[in-house]
Amino acid sequence: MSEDRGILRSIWDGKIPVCFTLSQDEIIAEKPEPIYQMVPRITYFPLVTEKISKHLAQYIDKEKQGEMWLECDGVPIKWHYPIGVLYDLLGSSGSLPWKLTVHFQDFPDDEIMHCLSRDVVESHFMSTLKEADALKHRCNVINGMQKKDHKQMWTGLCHDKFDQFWPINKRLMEHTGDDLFKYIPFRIYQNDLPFIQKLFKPQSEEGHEHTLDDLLKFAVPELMESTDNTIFIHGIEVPLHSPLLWLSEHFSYPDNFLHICITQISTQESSKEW
Amino acid sequence: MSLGVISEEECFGFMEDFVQRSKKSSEPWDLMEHGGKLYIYLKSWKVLSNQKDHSKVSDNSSDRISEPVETETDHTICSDEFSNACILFEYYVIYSESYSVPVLYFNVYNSNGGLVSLSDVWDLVPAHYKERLEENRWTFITQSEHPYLGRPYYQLHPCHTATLMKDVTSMTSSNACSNYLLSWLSAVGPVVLLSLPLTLASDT
Amino acid sequence: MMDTIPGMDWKKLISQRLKTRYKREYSDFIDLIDTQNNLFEQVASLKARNVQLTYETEKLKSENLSLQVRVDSGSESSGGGGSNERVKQLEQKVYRLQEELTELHKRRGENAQQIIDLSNAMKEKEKELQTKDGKLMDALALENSLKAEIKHLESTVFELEATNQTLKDEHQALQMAFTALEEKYRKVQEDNSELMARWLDLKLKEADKMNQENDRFFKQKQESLKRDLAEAAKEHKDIIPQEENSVLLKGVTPICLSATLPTKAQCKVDAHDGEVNAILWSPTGSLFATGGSDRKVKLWDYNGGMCNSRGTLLGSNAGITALEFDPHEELLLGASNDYASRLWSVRDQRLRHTLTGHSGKVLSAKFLGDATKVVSGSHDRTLKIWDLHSKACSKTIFAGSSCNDLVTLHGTSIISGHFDKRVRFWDPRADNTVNEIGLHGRITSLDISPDKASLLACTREDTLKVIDLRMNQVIHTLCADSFKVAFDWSRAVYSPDGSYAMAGSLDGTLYIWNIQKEKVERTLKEHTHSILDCSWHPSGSVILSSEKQKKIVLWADM
Repeated sequence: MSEDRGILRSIWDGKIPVCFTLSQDEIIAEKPEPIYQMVPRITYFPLVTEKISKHLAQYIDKEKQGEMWLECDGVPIKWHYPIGVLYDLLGSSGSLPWKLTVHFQDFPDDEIMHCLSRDVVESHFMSTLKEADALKHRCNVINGMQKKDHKQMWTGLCHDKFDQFWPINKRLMEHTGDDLFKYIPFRIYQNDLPFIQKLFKPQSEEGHEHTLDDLLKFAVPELMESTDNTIFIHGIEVPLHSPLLWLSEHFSYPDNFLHICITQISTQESSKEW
Repeated sequence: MSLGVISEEECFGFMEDFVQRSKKSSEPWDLMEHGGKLYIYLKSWKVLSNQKDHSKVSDNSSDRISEPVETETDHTICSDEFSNACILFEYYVIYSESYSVPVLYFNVYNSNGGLVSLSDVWDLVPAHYKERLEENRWTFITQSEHPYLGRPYYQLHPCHTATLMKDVTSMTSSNACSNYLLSWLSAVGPVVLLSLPLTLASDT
Repeated sequence: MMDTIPGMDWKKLISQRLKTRYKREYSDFIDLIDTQNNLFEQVASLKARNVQLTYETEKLKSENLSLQVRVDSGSESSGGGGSNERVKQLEQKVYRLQEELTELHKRRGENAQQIIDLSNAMKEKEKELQTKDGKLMDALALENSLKAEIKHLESTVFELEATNQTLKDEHQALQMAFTALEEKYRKVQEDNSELMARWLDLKLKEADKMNQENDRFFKQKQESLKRDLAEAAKEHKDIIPQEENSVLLKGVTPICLSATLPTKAQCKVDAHDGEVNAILWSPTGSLFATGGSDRKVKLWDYNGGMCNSRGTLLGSNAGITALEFDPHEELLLGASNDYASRLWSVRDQRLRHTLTGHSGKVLSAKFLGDATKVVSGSHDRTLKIWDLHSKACSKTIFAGSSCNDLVTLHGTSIISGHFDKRVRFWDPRADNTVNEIGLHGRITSLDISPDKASLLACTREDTLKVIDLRMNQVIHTLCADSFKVAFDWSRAVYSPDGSYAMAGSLDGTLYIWNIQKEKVERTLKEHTHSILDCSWHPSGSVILSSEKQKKIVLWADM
């Protein structure tokens, strides 16, 4: 269990160096230096970019300033995915630090959601958490919690406080005896396709424990046939024979979803040093 | 169905029935399919009456002050634009496996094709609903990703649907006329200006 | 696919890969990022500092410029560089000193002003002090004089105290003397009363003797009369009828041996307006007087069955309540409701005296002894004795109740009848009652029998009481079924021979009782109103009565 806790901690502590550069088109005078920042994988961009936004906003035309948004190689960043998911999906092919462009104009509202305040992020986070619990426990656990427990989880995430977040989260991860999770909350991401989310039980009808492999074969059978794909969770290739239930309990993001990223192996070669 | 939830198959059945019924009405819904999943879709133009909207704007002006700071972007519609403009509603009803209920996704566009912001969407909500929904502002209508299109859509959050429908289905008798989808949409639709013609419910 | 490495547990694999990830993504970059962040912050602070410095430089530049300008202008005005500077400095110094000087001048001026003000204030204070001194002196003088006065007053007080002491002593001595004298006085009084008693005894004996002598005299007279009659019967003589009034000889007090009761009203006259309160024959019977509520007293004479007014006596301010002739028929005494008693002279009908002093209606007035004293009884519950020589009240007796009537006995003692149903006996020399008798009704009138042995009292219980004065008890009670006493001052009288009593009733009937038999001897009815007073002619044959409504009636059989 100590090992498992170590893993939980390692996952929580996962951070990525990011380089924020102001969009060239929006600079009106002096070009600001890019800003480098370590950002937690498990959090969301709007929670870490406030300072950056404030700094870079000095260099743009105030009259044209709109809601800030991020872009990576021409793709608008969907802030409502955890940063780790976004990196694994979009950035892992390139070198570190991850380079992102900051925009204040021309918000692509047909592609990404607005985020005008932290309330929006909280609302999104809580609703995802709720959906995960709906899949696992038919909402019974989350609805049984008090408002302050919800708040504690949220502030724990905001302030990157593992010890504040997990005591509550543990309750969502619990399953008593044979009553396993009803379904495993997961989402599978591929480059620019909508994520895949299906109902998948932690055990087969015969009672065998499902592995990650079973899940992938069920959800994306066509991808599993080819071998040039890499499966990432939290930036690592998880062994396919890992039990799915354990992964759900330990490898889920704070929103309780197992976010699985699948990328072409060809683009991934450089990072396979080990 | 007694818990207010329905299975995917049931839902698809209701969708087919619903689309069938709507064919005769002025606003027929389309039955669509994505990766083996059915969903229904309606595109609807609405004209906002001037007076009503003006009063609404003035009513809400005080509310808006307390909202988080909003930066106006190109797509944002000034409230004045509503006054004599048509706006386009896109409604999707998609089955949510997670909640075992149908979910209503919708987007609102102004006449320029720009997306109407969430706060403006709230302004469109009829006043008598808004009062009650105010405290759940952040959980009732939220922007979320359309599960099939992968683009941002407004969503009537499904976590209350089962509770609502438990009451409704227990009230209506289990005869053939009762279409879960019809009952649900007629209950929650008006909040986002989706009104179903009465003829949909008639049994022919 | 890398996960198929044999012998590797999936969990260990995961841990290992996480560690690798940590190295790859975090530890390789954290220092760099931190450094960058530090640099970033440094740059930011440096930038801020730079901005500040630039601003300062700018400021200094402008300052420098202004200084330059000033230097330029300075050099223009005074020609030479260093000296110019010094001159400027000196000028500045001079200027500063001048300013200082001005300042000092100003201050000196202020100080001088202050001094003047202060000296003025001092002068004022001095003046004030002087006036205060003067006041102090005055106060001291006043104090001295007051002290002297106090001394003087103290001595006076002392003297007065001494005087007071002596007076007290004197008073004590006098008190003692007084006590002794009082003691003596009491003894003397006792002696006096003893002597009085003795004297009364003697008097009574004398009276008895007198009576006996009278009887003897009458007997002799009757005998001589009989003899004369017998003689007269013997010699026949023509009898010349005499005048009727020959019975009433003027100036002579008739002696009535036995009263005859008249039966008819001979004369009826309207005497006064309103009540005729008093009606009285004079002692000789030659005239009679009436007094009424019309404030008048009238004198009448009776001649040939007619009553003729002899005159009216004026002077009273209110109704007359009672009348009394003096024994010599010279004075007429009238009591009045105007709180006074008056004396008129009968002969010239003039008012002689007015006796004032009562504080209530005077209801009765009588001569006391000879005609030099009068006693009056009043509603003010006092009796007053008047001395006609000094025309003043010589004594006031507090009777305790309103006095309705009074009589005098032997010229010395007074008997009064009161509202409180009591008859009181007074000795004018003493204050206290000698005796008193209680009856059952308010006393309205008193009359002394001709032999002065009994008293007739009329009471409001509609009876007449005959009181024996020696025994001081009621010996006869006279009453009648329809006899009602009309007023508190209705009067009853004895007949001149003392065997009858007469009183008028409420209904106007005049009742005459035989005293010895205690029964009504006669009733006379002529009045139509209540009778107030009546009077029996000294000869015993003519009666007068008065009523409350103007009338008087004369009853006679002749």
